[in-house]
Amino acid sequence: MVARIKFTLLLLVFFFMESTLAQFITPGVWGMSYETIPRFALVGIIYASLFIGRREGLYYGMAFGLLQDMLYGNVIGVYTLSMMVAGYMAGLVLMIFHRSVAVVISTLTLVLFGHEWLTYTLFRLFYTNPVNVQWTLTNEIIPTLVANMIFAILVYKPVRNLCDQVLQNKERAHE
Amino acid sequence: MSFFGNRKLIIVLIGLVLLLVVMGSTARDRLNLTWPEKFLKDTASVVQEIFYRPAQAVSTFFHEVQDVFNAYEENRVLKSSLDQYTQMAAELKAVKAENKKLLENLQVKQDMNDYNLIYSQVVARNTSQWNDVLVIGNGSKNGVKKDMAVITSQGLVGRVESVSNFSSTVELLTSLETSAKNRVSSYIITTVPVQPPAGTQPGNTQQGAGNQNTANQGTTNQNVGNQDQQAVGQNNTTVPTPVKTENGWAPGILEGYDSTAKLLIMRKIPLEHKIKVGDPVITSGLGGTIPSKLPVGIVERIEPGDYGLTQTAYIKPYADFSLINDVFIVNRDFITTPSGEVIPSNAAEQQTKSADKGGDK
Repeated sequence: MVARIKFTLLLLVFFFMESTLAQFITPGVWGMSYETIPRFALVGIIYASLFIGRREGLYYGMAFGLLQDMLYGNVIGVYTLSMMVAGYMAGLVLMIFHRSVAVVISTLTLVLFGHEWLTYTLFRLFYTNPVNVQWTLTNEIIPTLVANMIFAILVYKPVRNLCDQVLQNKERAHE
Repeated sequence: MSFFGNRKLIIVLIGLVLLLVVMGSTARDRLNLTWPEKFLKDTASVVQEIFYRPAQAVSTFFHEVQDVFNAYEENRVLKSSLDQYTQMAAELKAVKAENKKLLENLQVKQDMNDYNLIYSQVVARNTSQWNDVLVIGNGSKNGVKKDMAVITSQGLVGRVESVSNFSSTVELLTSLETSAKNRVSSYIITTVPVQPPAGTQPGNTQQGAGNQNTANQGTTNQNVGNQDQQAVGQNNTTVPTPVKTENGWAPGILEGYDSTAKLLIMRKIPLEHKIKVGDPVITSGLGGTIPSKLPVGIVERIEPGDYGLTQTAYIKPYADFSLINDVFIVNRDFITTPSGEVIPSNAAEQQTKSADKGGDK
């Protein structure tokens, strides 16, 4: 139970870091034309999905997506849907491959890319003056991917440990 | 391989339908937030502030270190512009006094430039192309209301999107959201060469230009138009020199943002206005909640608009959108109703609630 609370709190800290700490280290602040969108909570959710179970990824994705929508968005439901799907899809990879570092990293890359791509396509669908795909890819999606991957690698060890604890507690409760 | 059992499939479908219902019901323009949203936003703003302040302190420290290195160069540039500044300040004072006197003589009562500023600190920022928003630490308890303009010390940055008790959300001008709400009615201050009286100089081109100038005057805002016409009249009676210029006011609507070039897009500018690169842009104050003469930016590029009936200008904003730490919320004392009356904002709120649904801000 303690591990579960710890893990949820950690995800909350990630979520609040997105809108506060991360804003001071974006490339735009230092005069670069790249834009990175911090998705730290999503990184945590993908880890949860990989190390605890895809059902967990779904629930955490739903909760944090809803939080994102309510705090910043106008339309409630967009991020709830996209993060929920991203969380669940990350867990599905384990049905085909065994869990290893390579699989974890490639899953992270794919899901983060897929999430950015999904939001971009949604936005392209609704906005009348669409932004160039090429430009979005090189100036937004790829820098976002790189920044979030760096973050994911930095927090890999502690998050993994916490996830394993949560899983152990869960299995013990089942027995 | 089936991922779902039959029962799970039904649950998923019901969930999706519920989500779509929520999306649909929140997508339209809402006057007020519901109480769970208000509660959540206020709680989150407290947490965000705890995270934001130390980060801000560290960041400002690094920027200050950077500033120290640039200080010498900066000082030299500032010194040279300071001489101009004192001259400008004196001129501005004189012009202001004169303007006030003229307005009194004309018995103009409505001033669209009256406002108070509410200072507020930023507690969080969400950067995403869709929805570029700031969360600020002042809410309805501090007098912030929906749709008020938000400026930094440099210029206009956005408007208040939603208000809860102790925090509010500011939608920046750079936000690409499709909503028709993120629009600001503004003027480009053009410099038009004053035409000598049409009779004295031969040539069709001159006459055409002269007509254009009068058309120019006709479409401008009444308040300003009066002054302009007076000024033009005076100029025409004196000796006309080709270098003499006159300020025109080209109306348009700021809507949208070009994220590749980082420029604001101003559309629906009538064709008869001759805009030049470098012309300053200010808010018009005609929309209602945003006062006039807030600085927005300068014209960077001009293009023919949709269907060739209007012009589109790309505007480089004065404000730096990359890192915003403090903002001012502009509280306009009086707002104009769609029918053109000027009434105190308290009374207006009740009126607009019942009457106005389609007016742009």
